[in-house]
Amino acid sequence: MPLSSSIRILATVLAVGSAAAPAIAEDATLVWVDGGGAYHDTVQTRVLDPWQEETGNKVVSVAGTDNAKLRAMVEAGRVVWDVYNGDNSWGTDADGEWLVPIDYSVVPKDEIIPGFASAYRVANMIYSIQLAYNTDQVTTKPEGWADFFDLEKFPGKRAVMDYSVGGIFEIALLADGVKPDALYPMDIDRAIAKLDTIKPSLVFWQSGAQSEELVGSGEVAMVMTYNARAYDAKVALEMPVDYIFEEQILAAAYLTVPKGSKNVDEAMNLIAFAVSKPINETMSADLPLGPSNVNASPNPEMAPDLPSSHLDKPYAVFDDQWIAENSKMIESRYQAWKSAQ
Amino acid sequence: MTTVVRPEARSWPVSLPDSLGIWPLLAALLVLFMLPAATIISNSVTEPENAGLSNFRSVLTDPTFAIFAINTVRTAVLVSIVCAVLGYVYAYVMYRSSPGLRAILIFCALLPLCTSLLVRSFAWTVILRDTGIVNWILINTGVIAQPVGMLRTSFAVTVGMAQILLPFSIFPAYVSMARFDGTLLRASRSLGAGPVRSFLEVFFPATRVGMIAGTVLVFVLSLGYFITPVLLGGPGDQPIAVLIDAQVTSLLDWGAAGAMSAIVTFFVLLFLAIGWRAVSRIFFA
Amino acid sequence: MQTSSTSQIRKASGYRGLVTSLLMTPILIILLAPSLIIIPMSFTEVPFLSWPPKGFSAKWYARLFDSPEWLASLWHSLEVALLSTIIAVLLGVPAGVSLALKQWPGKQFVLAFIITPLVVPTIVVGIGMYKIYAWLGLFDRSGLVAAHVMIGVPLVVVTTMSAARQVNPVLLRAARSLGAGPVSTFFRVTLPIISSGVLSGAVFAFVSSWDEVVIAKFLSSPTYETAPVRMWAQITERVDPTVAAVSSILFTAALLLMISLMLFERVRR
Repeated sequence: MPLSSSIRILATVLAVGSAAAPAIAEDATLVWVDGGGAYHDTVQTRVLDPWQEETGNKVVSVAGTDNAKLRAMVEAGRVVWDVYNGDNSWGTDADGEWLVPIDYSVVPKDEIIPGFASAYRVANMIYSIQLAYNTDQVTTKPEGWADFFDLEKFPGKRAVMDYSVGGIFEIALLADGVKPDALYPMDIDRAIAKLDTIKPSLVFWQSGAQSEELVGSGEVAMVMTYNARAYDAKVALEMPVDYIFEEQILAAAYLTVPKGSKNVDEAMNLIAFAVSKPINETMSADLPLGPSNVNASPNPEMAPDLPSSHLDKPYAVFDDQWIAENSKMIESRYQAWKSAQ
Repeated sequence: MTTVVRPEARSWPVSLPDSLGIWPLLAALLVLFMLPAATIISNSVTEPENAGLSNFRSVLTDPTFAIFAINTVRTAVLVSIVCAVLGYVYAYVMYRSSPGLRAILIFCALLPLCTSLLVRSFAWTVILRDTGIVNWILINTGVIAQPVGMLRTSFAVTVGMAQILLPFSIFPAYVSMARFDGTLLRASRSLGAGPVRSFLEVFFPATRVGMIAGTVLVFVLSLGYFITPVLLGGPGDQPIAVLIDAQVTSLLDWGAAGAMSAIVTFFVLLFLAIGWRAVSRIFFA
Repeated sequence: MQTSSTSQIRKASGYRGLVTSLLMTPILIILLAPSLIIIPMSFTEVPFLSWPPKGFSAKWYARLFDSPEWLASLWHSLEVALLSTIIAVLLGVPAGVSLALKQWPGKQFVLAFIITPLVVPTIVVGIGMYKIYAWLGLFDRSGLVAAHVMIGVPLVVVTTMSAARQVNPVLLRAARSLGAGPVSTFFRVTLPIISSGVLSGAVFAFVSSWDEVVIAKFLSSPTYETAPVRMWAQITERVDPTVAAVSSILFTAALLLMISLMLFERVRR
C-alpha cells in the first residue's frame, strides 16, 4: 500500500501540468467507434445526428477500431468506448470475454436478417468482398473468381487483402469450384494449392485505400476488395474501375458493447435506434451499404450497387463462427504460405 | 590575478552520493516503462491459464516464426551495411568540409526527422511503385520501356529504412572523426605514406569505432521496425513485428504475443551487449 | 616548385570535389527525396496522392486550417512533445552527467537499462502502458507525456553523456575548491559546457515524441488525439493530400528555422 501510493505520487509528479483525465465517462456522453473514413461520415449524419436530435443525448464518434485497445480497456477497467462497430471477424461468442451480451428486449432481433444477430453482436449494415478490375486492362467482363485465377485469359497482376480471415482462402476455393454453401469447414490445403498457381502475380494490400489505388492506377488488373471500396474508386474517384457481384462473399459490420462500459443501457438504446427500419435504410443514402433490417427499403438509386440486390447470382456468406474457432490455425497457415519462397 | 574566495560559500553540510543524478530517472523508468513491459511479457506464461512455457515452445518450434526471424535479421543486416557505408562517407565529407558547409550537411541529415516516419514511408511507395516517380522519369527519358518493379522488394525496404536510420550512423561516425587527432595524419604523411594509405592505415582504424557504434544502433533499432517493411516490402520481407501485431490485434492471443516479444527483446539486448564496447566507447567515456 | 605544388593541390581538390559530389548526391537524394516529394503532391487537385500531381490547388491547406480536429491534434502533439521533452531533459541531464562524470559501480548495467525503451517493440509496450497508466491515473495528456518521456529520455542521456565527456574534471575540482557547492558548480561550470549536447538531446526527444504513433494509438482517447494518430487513420482510410499538406508545412517551418539559425550564427560571427 505505501509502495503503491508512493508510485502514484511519483506518477502525479511526473505528469506536471497535466490536468486530471477529462471526465468522458462520467457525464452521459456515449462514445461510438468505427473504422473511419467515408463510412464514419455516413454514420455521423445518418445515425448519430438523428439520435442526438431525437434524444438530446450527446454522442462522440471516433475513427479507428482496435480490438487490442478494446481488450486493454476492459482489462484495465477503464472503458471509454460504448458502442464498438467492428467488422465480421469481431464479436462472435469467442470474443464474449470482452463484451456485454446484446439486450434483445431493447434491440429488435426479429427485424434483423436471420444469422446477423447473435449473443454479443447485431449487424448494422451488410457489405461484401467482390472482384473489381481495371477497365483499361480487362476488356471482357470477368464472371467470377475462376477468372481472377486465370492469368492466360486475363493477364496482369492481382491484388488481395493481406488478412488471413479476410476471404483470401474463400476466393481460392470458390475459384477451384467449391460450391458457395460448401465452403466451410474450409479445405486450407486445397485453397493454398490454388493460390500457389498465381502466387508470383499477387500483390498484398493492407488498407482499403491501397486496394483502390492499385486497381485504379493499373498496377494490378484485378483486385479482391470491399464493395464500398470498388464503388468509391469507380464513382467517387472516377478511376477506370468496374466490379462484378458474381460470387461475392457477404459480410456485415456489427455493433457490440465493451464489457465495463459505463453506459450499457444507453448503448443498447443507440444500437436499437441504429438498426431500426427508418435509420437503417438511410445507411445506403451515400454509400453502397445494405441494410440489416428486413423491413428496410434502401435508397433506390443505390440499389444496383448494393450487395443485397444481387442475391440472384451465386454468392457465399462468411461463416464467422467457424472462422473464429479456427482463427489461429488460419492465421498460421496463411503466414506460413505467404512467407514461403 | 587575485583569487577571491567568497566568504559565504562553504561546502555542503551533507555529501550527496555521486549516483544521485540517476535515481529519479531509474524510478520513473521502472514504473512507467519496465512495469508496463513486464505486464505484457508476463502474459506469455499466464495466458492461457497455467501456460507455463508452452507459448515459448510453440513459438520457437513454429517454422513460420523462424522464417520471419530470418527476414527480420536479413533486413537489419542489409540496412546496417548500407547505413555503415553511406553514414561513414557522409560523416567523412562533413569532417573535411568548411564549418559553413558542415552546418548545411548537419541540417540535411536532421531535416528528414521533420517529416513523419509514416509520411516518409508512404512517400517511398509513391516514388518506387510501377506508376511512381522513378519509373515515370526512366520511361519519359527513354531509359526503359516497361516499369521496373521496385516497390514490395527488399530493395525498397532497405532504402526506406536506411533513409530513416541514416542519422544514427552519421553522427557517431562524425563524433569519432571530430575526436581524431589530426597531427597523426600529418605525421604519417611526413613519413611518406600516400593519402590513401594514410587513410586506410591511420584514419580509418582510429575512427572505425564510430562506424561500429552507429551500426550497432542501426541494427538494433531496425529489428523493431514495423510500418516501413509492411508498406514497402514484399511477402518475403515481413518482420517479426508483423506476427506480433497479428497476435496482438487480430487474434487477441497475448500469450503468444508476450512470448514473441520476450524472445525479440532478449535477442535485441544480446546484440546490444555484443556491440556494447563500441557503443560505450562513443557515448560513454 | 611552389606553383606546381599549388596546381597539384588544386587538381587534387577538383578531383576530390568530383568524387565527393558523386558520392554525396545519391546519399542526399535518399535522405531528402521523401520529404521533398510530398510538397508538390500536397498541391494536387484530386483527393488522393498521385504522380505526377494533377492540377494545382491549395484546397488541402484550406481544409487543414478549417478542420478543428486537425488543428486540435496538432496542438495536442505540440503540447505532448514539449512537456515530454522538458521532463526528459529534467530526468535525463542529471543522469547523463552522473554517468559520465561520477564514479560508482554498475554504470554499464544502468546505462543498458536506460536505453531499453529504444529497443523493445513498442506495440507490446503500448498495451502494458494502457493498463498500468490506467491504474496510476495517467490518461490522455499525462499518459502520452509519461510514455513519450520514456522514449525521449534515452536520447537525452546519451547526448548529455557524449557532451559531458568534454568537461574537464580538474575544472570541477577547481570550482569546488573555490567554495562552489555541487548545485552552483553544476549550473555555472558543467551546464554551460554540456548545453549543446543537452540541446541536441532535447531536439531528438521532441522529434521522437512528435512522430510517435504506435503507443499514441493506445493512449489517445476520443477527446485527446495526436497528429500522427490522425495521420495513421487517414493513411489507412484514404491518403488524403491533407496529410501531405501537414507534412509540407512542418518541413518548411523546420527548414526556415534552420536557415534563420544559420544566418543568425553568421551575423554573430
